Amino acid sequence: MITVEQTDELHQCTQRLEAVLSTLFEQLNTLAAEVVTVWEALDAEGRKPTSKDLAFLQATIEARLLANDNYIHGTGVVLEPGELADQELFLEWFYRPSSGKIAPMMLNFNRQSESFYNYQGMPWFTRPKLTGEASVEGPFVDLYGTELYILAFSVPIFAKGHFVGVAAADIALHEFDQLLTRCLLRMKNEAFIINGEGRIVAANSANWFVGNIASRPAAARVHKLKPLSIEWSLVELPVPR
Amino acid sequence: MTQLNKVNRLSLLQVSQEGKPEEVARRLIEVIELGLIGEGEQLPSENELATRFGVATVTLRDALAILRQRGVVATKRGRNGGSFVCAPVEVSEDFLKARLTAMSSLELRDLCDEQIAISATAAGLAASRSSSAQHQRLEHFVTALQEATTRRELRRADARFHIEVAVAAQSVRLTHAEMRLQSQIGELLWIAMTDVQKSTVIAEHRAILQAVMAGESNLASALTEAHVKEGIKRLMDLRFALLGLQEATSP
Repeated sequence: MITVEQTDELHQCTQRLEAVLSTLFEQLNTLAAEVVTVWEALDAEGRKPTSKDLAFLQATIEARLLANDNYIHGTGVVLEPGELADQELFLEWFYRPSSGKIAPMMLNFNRQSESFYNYQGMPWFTRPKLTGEASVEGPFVDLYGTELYILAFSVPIFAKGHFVGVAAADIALHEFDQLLTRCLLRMKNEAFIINGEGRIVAANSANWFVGNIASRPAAARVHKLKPLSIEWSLVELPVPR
Repeated sequence: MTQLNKVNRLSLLQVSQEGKPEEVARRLIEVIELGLIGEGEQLPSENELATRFGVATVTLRDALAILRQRGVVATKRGRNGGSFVCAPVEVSEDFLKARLTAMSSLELRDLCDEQIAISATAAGLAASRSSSAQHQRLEHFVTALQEATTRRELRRADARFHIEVAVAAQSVRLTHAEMRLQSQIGELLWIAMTDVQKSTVIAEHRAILQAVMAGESNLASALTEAHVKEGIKRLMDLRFALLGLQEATSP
């Protein structure tokens, strides 16, 4: 029997989680909108954008990284090859190193090099490009960029209907966990969040380890979280925690 | 009962015989050797590196000076300045043999113990936690090992396989531990390797991969333990042979 109270808890928890996700995606959409404004203005002038035309984003990005409640490790925009007149692969991206001072992210775009960082094949880039929708990749251990357990949030940037690139943010799960766990603790029953591949992103009980692939009991209630394109679900078990 | 005096007890804390800047320089060279920071790429800032290695900025500057001297990095001044990775450095086989000979039996056995603790655990967890995308990455590094010919390529593909297993295990700590271990012994493992030995290593990696893909945690773990032991035993044999040669030629 599912009581009214339980339905209410699930509803509240879902709402809070969706509010967190929606704030994150709104911030990325703002970043995307700023790029679109510039792209349209330059298009009206008949000029192709260059990497310098993205430098103005630094102020928005730094403000985001300096915000108080921050769990964003790095954020910025990543461009589709062919969009810029002067660079093939390019990102306007800043991150917070452990030393505290915000720094631009340097990646290896030398195609001849073994450690060439080709983002064109990475899911956080390809998925929004293909679906036109918001995406979350991970959590995964990031060996190259940040050496943390990372969730990569991204939204596509479309200017006049064509794909320009993505606005994205790396979220360190060890920081984001606080927020997710607090939401989950409002449930009296055991509950966890799983991503599209069935991996546990956060849980409210030590019976469920973050990073494990969840074996879902048949009696669990599964509630898909919005935006649906990220394929996250809140799973509630018929077991008090 | 063993009586340990204070000095002896404290000597357990001593990790390395070399000076701090030399140690940091060696570890940076190893990260570059593993291909995790590529040619032409910029190193993180001095402050960030100092924090990451847990050393003073002064020590880190000394380490960078060693890297510059050896031609591993070049430093540019100015707004877009920093240290950049130069074309690869090839360490001679003789140098590595000398390093192996200077190690003790205990040191090698202890490395073996630690690597079993880290790598076998990681393989067991990877069997229950890895995704199909991660299986493909592991497969990629088994193939890379098959196709590798130079010592650098062999060593990189070997190390990357083990590091990716830890990544597939979803553990940041095990990944870091595996990277550190690989940078400490990875290069030694590929000294004077015969084709037969190379094929054995490839077969072992493939068997571990299959156990991981099949979700067989205990098997993945046991296979990794055996694989680590094999590698260290080969190093011990090689060291005894080298020491024996030295002994035979000394008056």
